[in-house]
Amino acid sequence: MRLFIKRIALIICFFIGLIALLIIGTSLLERKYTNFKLPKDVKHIVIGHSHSECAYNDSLIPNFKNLSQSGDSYLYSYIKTKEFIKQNPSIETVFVEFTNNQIVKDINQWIWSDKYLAYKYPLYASFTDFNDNLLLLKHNPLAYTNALALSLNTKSTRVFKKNSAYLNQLGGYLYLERNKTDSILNSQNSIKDNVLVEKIELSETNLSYLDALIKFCKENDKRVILIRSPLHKKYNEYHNEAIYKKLLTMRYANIEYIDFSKFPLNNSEFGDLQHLNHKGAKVFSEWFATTLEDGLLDKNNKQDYIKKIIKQLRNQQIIVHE
Amino acid sequence: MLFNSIDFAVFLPIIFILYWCLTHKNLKLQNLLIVVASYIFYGWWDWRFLSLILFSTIVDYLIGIGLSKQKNITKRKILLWTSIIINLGFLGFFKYFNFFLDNFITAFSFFGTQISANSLNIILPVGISFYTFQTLSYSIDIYKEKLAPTKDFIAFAAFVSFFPQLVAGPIERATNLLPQFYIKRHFDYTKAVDGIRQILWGLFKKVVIADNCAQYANIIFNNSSEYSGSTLVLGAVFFTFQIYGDFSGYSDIAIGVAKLFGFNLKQNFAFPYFSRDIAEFWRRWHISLSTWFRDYLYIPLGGSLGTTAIKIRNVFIIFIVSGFWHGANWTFIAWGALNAIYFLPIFLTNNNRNHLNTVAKDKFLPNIKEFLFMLITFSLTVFAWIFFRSRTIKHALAYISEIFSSSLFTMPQLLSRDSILTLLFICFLMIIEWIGREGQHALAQIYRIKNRAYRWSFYLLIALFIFIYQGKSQEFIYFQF
Repeated sequence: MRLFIKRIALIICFFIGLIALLIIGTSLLERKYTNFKLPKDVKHIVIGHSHSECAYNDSLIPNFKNLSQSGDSYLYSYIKTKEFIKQNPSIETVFVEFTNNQIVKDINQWIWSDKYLAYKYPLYASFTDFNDNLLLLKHNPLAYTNALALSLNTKSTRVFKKNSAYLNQLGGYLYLERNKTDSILNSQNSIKDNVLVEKIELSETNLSYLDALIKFCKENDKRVILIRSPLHKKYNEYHNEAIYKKLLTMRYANIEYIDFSKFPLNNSEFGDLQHLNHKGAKVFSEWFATTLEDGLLDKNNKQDYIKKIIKQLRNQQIIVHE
Repeated sequence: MLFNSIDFAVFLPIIFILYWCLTHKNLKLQNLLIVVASYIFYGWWDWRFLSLILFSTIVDYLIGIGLSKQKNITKRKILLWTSIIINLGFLGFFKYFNFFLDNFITAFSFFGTQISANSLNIILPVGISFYTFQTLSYSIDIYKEKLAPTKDFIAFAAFVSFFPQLVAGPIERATNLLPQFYIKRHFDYTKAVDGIRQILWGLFKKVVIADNCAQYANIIFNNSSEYSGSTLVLGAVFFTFQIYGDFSGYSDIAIGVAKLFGFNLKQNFAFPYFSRDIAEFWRRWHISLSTWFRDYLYIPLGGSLGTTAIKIRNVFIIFIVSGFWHGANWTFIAWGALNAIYFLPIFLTNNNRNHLNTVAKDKFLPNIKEFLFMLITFSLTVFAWIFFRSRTIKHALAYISEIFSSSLFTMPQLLSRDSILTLLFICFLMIIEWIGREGQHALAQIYRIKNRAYRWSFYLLIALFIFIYQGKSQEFIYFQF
């Protein structure tokens, strides 16, 4: 019996050692060889989840690269930003999507739920640090173990194939064709009531990664601007607007912020209540490009400036809709 | 609790340590621990259905004792039928109630009578088809005086609920398993190591083969109208290995776990895809169920005795009932009937016992004739699985008609890096199983490799495959049966 347990323990140790070696080995190789290089003329990048992924058609915005991806929590945004900044000194500004659904506790599911771990972790595994791994292990050990296995599979394939350029898997503009806005509005019974600030639980984990992202950008002399992409006025998550505003004025008081959420668009230009479809993205991106060209980043009070323009747009209806 | 879950990975070592360190000196305690562990194992899924197992255990325990005391034939028959009605009654209600109800409604509406009845929302208790057959065999064996009833309730409860094989078999006979609960188990290093090997191979079959094949089989079967004939063939092949990996993998893990606790369960799969005819296939596939039906249904019906018409009837009954056992759907019945059709020609020409030994025994490779026979049998089996996997008979027929279209000779769709990798793993499985086909399981004869470093390297390789190439976790298919 003792011999049996001793040998089983020994073979388990061998196995764990082998796995650890493979994980560390493939991670080191990926860290060394992965290419995060962007075209040299890219000066501005946008990081975030599906809102910004669908809103910024970077082919219409000069010197701009959309690196957002559906389902990205700030953990992955942070990892991604670090690697892109390290390899692209030409980057001057990092726009970070900051919207209502990224602050509440539900977003934790995007960090450690089974689905998101299996989907996101293998993409970024080589670039996570010890604390990131500990966090995931602590909150969902089973899914983390599965994700670790999946990541080893994808990493070893990338290393084996010498595929060091997989940027297209890490984000980019998403051309959204759908238009479900009217049907959603018809089936929507009511918008959630505004909730008292005290009743909303924040995702301290997600926000701490946003803090880390901001800190890293500042340490590397990059300008960080929090943005909120265009949203439909019936967007459900507006109910936490009070705490959202509170966070902006307290926690992120020193960070530049531009709110595009009220940008005037027709229902046909939304894919749903929070995502622009390709029509909306075209209208918005062309306008955004012009505004950037007009010196948006040099304005002292950007938010007031944008508010003023949006108000003018709404009044004059000068946005060209189909 | 799933064998391939973290829960079980924690549960098993705890029970193993308790079993061999705390209860090893006392038989009663050993059996009691097995009962407690088995009830925890089952209750992990849904504790409410523990009452069903407990009830079934008490009924058959009392009937067993009653049968041993009763000499009057009529009263003995009444006792036996009580056991049969209760056990099959549970099974019939939980598994087949809605099927029969829906079919009665359809049948009556066919004759112009509309019946209004609502299907019940019935949860099928996991493993009910397995443990009811196990308890049933106990009562029948006592009735036939092949077995003396036990007076040790704990030993009997442990036999009924023995956790390694409780939810998906092998279906153990009381004559084999129950006596093992009468004797104190002693730790046997060789047996335990063999158990671990079998668990490892079972996990490989489930996690690497079945779960990966399932992803492609599900995509292809669920969207069959969108794929070419060649892709549909690929889908059927994926399902063929999914069901084998899933079910024989479960059996291997169950038998391996039982060995860790000092028990010997019967071999349930004996490398069926190397069979040279359908009769051999059925001697090698789900052996515990096939032999159960043989002993408790086929032989009482007259077996192979009697006129040709009776023989044909008996063959159809056993195959159709076997199909129906798998689930309340006409597709399973069609699958059973198709296997009966495969089996009848060789049975009626007395060729059903031509291949009793292992294929290419003591040789490295089969000869051309053996290879062709294996290929034909395998192809017939793949074809039959289409009925088993399809949602309805109509779906199966559409699937088959799509296969035999001009697109059969095109390159299959879905040939990606991952699907090709899965096919390579299937090749690896077949090679290892071919090498180990004379053993009780594929790795049983690995001890012949004298160098421990080679053996351990092989184990580590398998473990690595399990870790890295695990498919998306799927529930064991046979849980639903």
